[in-house]
Amino acid sequence: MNKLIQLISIETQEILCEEIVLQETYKERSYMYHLQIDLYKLDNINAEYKEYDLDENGNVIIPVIPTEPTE
Amino acid sequence: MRKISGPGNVDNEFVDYDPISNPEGTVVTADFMNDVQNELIEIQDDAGVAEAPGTDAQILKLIKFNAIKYSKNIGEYFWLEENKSPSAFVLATPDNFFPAINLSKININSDITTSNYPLLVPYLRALKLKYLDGTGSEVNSWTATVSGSNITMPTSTSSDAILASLAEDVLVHGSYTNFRSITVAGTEFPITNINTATRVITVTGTPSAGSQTVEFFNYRITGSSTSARLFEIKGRSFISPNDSSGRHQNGLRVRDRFQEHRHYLFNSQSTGIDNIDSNSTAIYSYTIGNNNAYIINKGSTALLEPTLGQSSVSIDDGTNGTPKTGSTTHGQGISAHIYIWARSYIA
Repeated sequence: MNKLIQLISIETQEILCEEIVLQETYKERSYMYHLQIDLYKLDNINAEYKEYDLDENGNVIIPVIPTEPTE
Repeated sequence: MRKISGPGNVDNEFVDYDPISNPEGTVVTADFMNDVQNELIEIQDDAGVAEAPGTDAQILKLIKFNAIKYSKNIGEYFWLEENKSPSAFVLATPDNFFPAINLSKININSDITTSNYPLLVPYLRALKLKYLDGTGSEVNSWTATVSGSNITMPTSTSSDAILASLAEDVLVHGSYTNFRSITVAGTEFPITNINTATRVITVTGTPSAGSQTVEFFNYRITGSSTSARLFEIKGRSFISPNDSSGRHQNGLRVRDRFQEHRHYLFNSQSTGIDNIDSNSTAIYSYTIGNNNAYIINKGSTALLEPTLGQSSVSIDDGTNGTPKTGSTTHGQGISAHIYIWARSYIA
């Protein structure tokens, strides 16, 4: 399954960079994106990593947000 | 040098004069004496020591000098417990000759010149960043796309490895100030930014645009052919650059880390969780002592972190004692200074 990976500015929610990655390159690209979070800190940019599964049409599969925690 | 070959030698050895058995003796020829003299003088000339009369131990001192000088390879790393400064050769005190630099003592970076380090600087300037894939093949130049001050590295395993290693190194360095350079079409440009996600390296200046050959000389300084830049090294262990993952490149520093791993999660509570489903989106919350802990199933996108406290700190496993934690990860060690051998130092 292909994925959309992104780095998003925590302050502005701006998408700093994003990429659709194949299963074969996902691990390496994800590593490079996580490394970039630390590099952004050198420029005082706080970024967070997000990834989404894509369906066969390349659309983001929206995860279901739980409505209430259960014990 | 050659053995005596003058008249009266026996198998190229000297024999004493004897009026009866060897009335000739061995003639000490000028050729032989000049050979001996020149061999000794060359030791002095090589060290730049002037000829002088009545210096009985001069050659001995120069032998000591050369023994120290060639005791290590240029650029060899070694450790000493004490902090020592470089010391030039002085004939009267050859034992004090110390052509080495304490890399632990450097504050972020230190630029050195051929005036002080005539052998180390050329050596460092020639060192090139190389990608080794663990099987011996080596990549040390790439074809990148240059636009303005931005250099987009190609999409390849070796390119990504170099970018990741440079990223690690700049994170150790702390900023892009006085960082390393990239060589584009034979010209060095100081790196001012690295983006591992987009594979873009930004530099000061504008290299030739378009498709260009790029290389990385670890210690070169933009605009200078007679200097090299050394970098602070503190508390580093050595890692082979020829690792199978291709993650480590020669001469670059990395931060501490520990192997990626997962944890089993056991529910020992008498009540509470009994339905952990990796495909569920549910969040389970329960209490340990005064602290909340959460189990977040894979399907959930909620960002909940355990409250700092009992649920998020390391505790004694009952066998190995209280876990020792700190700001960095490292094994048992000994604290010592790391040096690089320059072979030659001129004050």
